[in-house]
Amino acid sequence: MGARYVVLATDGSVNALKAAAWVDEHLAGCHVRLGLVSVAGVSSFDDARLAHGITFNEDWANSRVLEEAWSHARQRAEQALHQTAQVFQHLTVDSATVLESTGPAAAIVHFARDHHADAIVVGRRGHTSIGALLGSVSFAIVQQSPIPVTIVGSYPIWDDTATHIVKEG
Amino acid sequence: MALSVLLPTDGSPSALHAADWLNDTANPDKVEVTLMYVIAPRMELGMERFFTDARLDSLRILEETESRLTRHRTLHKVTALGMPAEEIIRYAIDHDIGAIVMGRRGDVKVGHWIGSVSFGVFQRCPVPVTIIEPDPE
Repeated sequence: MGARYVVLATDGSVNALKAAAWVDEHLAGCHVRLGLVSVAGVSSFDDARLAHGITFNEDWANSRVLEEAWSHARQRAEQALHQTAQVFQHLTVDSATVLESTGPAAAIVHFARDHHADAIVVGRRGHTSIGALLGSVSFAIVQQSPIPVTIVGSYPIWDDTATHIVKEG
Repeated sequence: MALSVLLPTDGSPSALHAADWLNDTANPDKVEVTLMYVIAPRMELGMERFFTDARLDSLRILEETESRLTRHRTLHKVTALGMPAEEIIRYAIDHDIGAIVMGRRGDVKVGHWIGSVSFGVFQRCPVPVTIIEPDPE
């Protein structure tokens, strides 16, 4: 059997980096190929508005504003890939891909399926999770994925240091 | 140091598929497996009948699951009594479990997507959880 292909989805958050460290520790010495993916997406009107401080009445769908928002999102995703790649000490990262999509979970699952991945690894909660709510993206991945999904990360209520759970990292 | 893996099972096709996946995927030198069956209280059967039946179920299911692990050494076969998700999480924390591997849905389903037990574990477990889709394409 050839190398197992593991896809690690990251947004550069603390949980994503923890997931990377876990993979690095436990798959060291195993015959795996490792692909990093990060999703760049302008998910809503709010993203564009927050990024640019424009008000409701303005033409937020104006292509220039949206294009800038996408460009920011791509930069964030590339930064997340870069940060995550630095975590690995034992494994080599075979590929790092920015996926452009407004639906992160679907994009990750499609990528894994198209590239015949054997497993997906994801941190429990990313940047956008609120408080004790579970990670909506990781949950959606579990729901949609045809291949095994490993979720790494702590449960915030049991984490005494979690005073900044709205936005980590 | 071997990674201690907890494989909760209810004997459903999904759980057995997770066992097969673990058997195919995990390096036997690097993992040690604990099998766990949780008896959910069902008092309508009457106390005595409940415990006899449940114990027999648990032995049968643990053995059936163990038989799928042809390459691995099974360290413990555990039976707990309680709500499955709670007991799985408690055991994992108390016994330094490094990873949990489980099927996505057992006999009891919530909606179309995910079992109540795997959902409970997914939501709350501090230990890494791998959830195995029962019907790979």
